[in-house]
Order: sequence, then structure tokens, then C-alpha cells
Amino acid sequence: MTKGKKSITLITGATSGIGLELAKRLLNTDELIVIGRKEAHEVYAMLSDNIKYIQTDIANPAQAVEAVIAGLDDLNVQAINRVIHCAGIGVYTPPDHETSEQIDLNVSVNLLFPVLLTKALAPHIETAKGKVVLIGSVAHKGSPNMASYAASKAGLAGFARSLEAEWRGRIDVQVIHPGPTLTPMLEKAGYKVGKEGRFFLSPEAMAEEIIKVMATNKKSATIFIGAKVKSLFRRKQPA
Amino acid sequence: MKNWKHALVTGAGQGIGKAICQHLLDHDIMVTSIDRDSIEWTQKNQDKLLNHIEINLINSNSVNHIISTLSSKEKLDLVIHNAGISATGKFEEIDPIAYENVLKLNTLVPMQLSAGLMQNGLFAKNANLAFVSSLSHATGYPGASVYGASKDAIAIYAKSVRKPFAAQGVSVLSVFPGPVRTDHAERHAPEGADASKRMLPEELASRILNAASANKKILYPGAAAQSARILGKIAPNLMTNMMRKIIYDKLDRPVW
Repeated sequence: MTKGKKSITLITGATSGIGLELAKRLLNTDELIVIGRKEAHEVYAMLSDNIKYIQTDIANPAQAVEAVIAGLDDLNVQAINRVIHCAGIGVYTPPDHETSEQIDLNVSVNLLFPVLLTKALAPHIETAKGKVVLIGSVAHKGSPNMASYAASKAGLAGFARSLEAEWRGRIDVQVIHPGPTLTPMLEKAGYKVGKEGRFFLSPEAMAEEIIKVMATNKKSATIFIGAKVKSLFRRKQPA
Repeated sequence: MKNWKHALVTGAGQGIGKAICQHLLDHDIMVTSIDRDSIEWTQKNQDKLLNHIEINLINSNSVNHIISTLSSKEKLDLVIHNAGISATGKFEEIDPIAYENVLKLNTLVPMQLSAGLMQNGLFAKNANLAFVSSLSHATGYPGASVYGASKDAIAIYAKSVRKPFAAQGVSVLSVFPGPVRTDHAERHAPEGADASKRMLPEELASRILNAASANKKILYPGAAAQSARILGKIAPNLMTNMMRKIIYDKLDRPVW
């Protein structure tokens, strides 16, 4: 990276929830390339006219990766300092109620797309001596009512663990597992937040914590209880 | 062995799947075998016990086809998700289609088939469901990061469904085998690797069936797998670094 020039961050899933809050916080420090399904004008309105936006539907991972690469060629981007895989999808239902289509979508969006995109962007990231950040979930240890979601996030964690060892010294790989967060994804997944919601983080607080972890050399991190306590404490401080 | 009547085994054409099927047939258990190839190993008088479905599980309609075929058969007492493929080599040198296939066969299909069998009431009472994951679940696997991911994913699916499926009378077993003496392992191993240290498929088959019979939840077959599991827990970085040294640094070619 040239001195004074902003570092380039490519982020998926930045049009909602944690990803949107992350992107808002990176606007001032990074040159952002956002990948998403929404219409461009909606995304510019959410974030800024200064971002670069590549519109594609990651439910079809192979085609979406082609669209990203074509978009980067159009933008003449050869080096990327950081790729943040934040896009995710899930269904909250008992495992015997999960349909084949839902399971397929979870694997495609949460696991296959990050794998294929990481492979396709490897030369861009290596040119910048950059970093890959995979946003997992605390569910990667298992979840009876989000079985295929948990599986996809476990796959992502395993992928990060192996690739980190493989790319050590060339490209940094980090996986961050957010705990329960009050994002639109929860509602879309069919999860009804009850009293336990008071232990959940807001997307804003989660994004703050992720930014801090991304600045470290940790290979893997989980953000949950400690961050909630900190966010409650912050809220009680005078403005 | 448990009094199973009808078993379903994927990846039955060779290696571990073949050994499991032969073991079951030897005990007069009816087997529905699934493989992309035809079965060439049946012995005399076993044909009537074997119902082979020749299908490539990677095909998008495979799960529906299997479920509709099984709907007219006796309910299943035992299901073993054994079919699997790997992709070894430097991550960036492997064809993306290979990654797609690894995740489909090793992760997506076992989940879809398990959920589908459950939804369609195709399990008998007190049935057993086994997922063959990999010892790589206990460690990182540089040089096979997507294979490792696929096996981590299916291990956590098995863990997630264990309680809900048990409530419906299906006992879930997760199997984490180390290297097995199969053609598949031979193809992916670095050149010159010592095959004699790998477990024989027949021995693994017997251990899997014994564990399922006893309604066990987890099987790390053999002393080497159990030691690797412990080392992976207490010193994960050391274990992953060892894997890099033993496998990744010696890989001389990408294979998928």
C-alpha cells in the first residue's frame, strides 16, 4: 500500500446487520468494495456514494464469484488488503423440519461462497500481503435448532484453521465468531427473541468488537459475554 | 451385532463402504447400497439381500430419488453416511468445481438425506444413524482445507441433531477415522507415504458397526486416532503444525 493511500477492503453481507455496521465504521479508514444483492442506489444510500459496489446474488456461489472478479477487473483492482466474509443466512427450526432447499442455501451462502471467493481473490490478497477475515458464529460448536447453519459455520471455522496454517507468512487468515446479535437475520431465520434477548449484543456493539479483533493477530476469536458487559457499561457512561 | 433388518450405506462400491456392506450381508442383513458405480463384489447368494442404487450423489436430484426408492421398502434400522471425496494440494491450485463437489458429497447430501429420511418417516424404531467424519476434525488439515471443512461441518451437524433425533428414536454416531488403507487414501497421500500404518477397511467397518450397535455417540477408532484426538485438544497449534509438516510440506501434486 502506498503511504497515505487508504487500504482496500472487500466486504460481503454489508447491506444488513453486523456487516452494515462494520462497513459504516470502515468508511473513513478504508476504500470499501461492497458485494451484495440489493440495488446499487439502496446501498449507496445506506453507506456512501464513495464506496464501490458489485451487485450479485451469492445464493449461486460460482456465478457470484465470476461477477465479483469481473467487477474488480472493471474497477481495475489488483490488490486487496482485507476481505471480510460477513454474508450469512440461517433457519431456526428443528432439524427434521429443514428442507433440502434451506440446507442447500445455508451451505452455499455460509460456506461454499467464502471458499470459492477466497480462492478467486487469493492473488489480489497476496499482492497486498493482506488478510482474510471470516465471520463465523458461536453456533459452530453445534445447535439443535440451527443444525445445518451450525454445520456451515463449523465448516467455515475448520476452513480458516487449515488455511491459516497453509498460508502462514503469505496471507493472514482469521475467523471471528460473534455471539447472539440482534440482527435482521434472526427474524429472517424465524427466531423469536424472548427475554434472553437482553444478553444479545446490538449489531453496532458487535461491529465495534469485530473491528478491534480484526486489528489483532488472533487466528480465532469469540465475541459474546465480555463484549455485552462492556457495551452495558459504555451505555451507562455520560455522553 | 444389533438385530438390524435393513441398512443403507453410501459409498458402497469400495473401501470402507464395501467392507461395511460385506459385514452386514454376512450377518444376513438387507442392504441398500449407494454408489456412483455398479457393485462388483457381491458373493454367492447375497444378491437377494442387496438392493443397489447406482447414482452419483452429487447430482441435484439424488436425494429425492433415494427417498422415493426407499419409500416402498422396509424401514431403515441403520444408515451410514460413508461416501466422501477429498481434494488435496495447495488451496489455490485446486479447481473450484472440486471444492463444490467435496462440500456437496461430504456435507450437503448427508444432511439433506438425513432430514429427508426423518421427514418421510423412513427410520424404523430404535434405528442408528452414523456419519463418517474424519480425524481431521481434531486438527487443522493444511493441504486439504476444504475437505477438512466438509468433515468439520458434518461432525457438527451430527452433534446438533443427536438430541432431537434421539427423541424420535434414532441414535446418532459420529465416526472420526484416521488414515485407512483404501485406494482413495493412496491416491491423496504424499508419494512414499507408509500405507502399512493405515487401518484396514474391514477393521474400521467392524468398529463402526460395533459402536452403532452399542448406541455410542462418538468413535475415534484405534489408539492412534484417540491419541491424535487428545493432542488436538490440548495442543491444537502443535497438532496443526505437525499436519503441515507431515502432509502439506510433502504434497507433490494436487489431486481431486
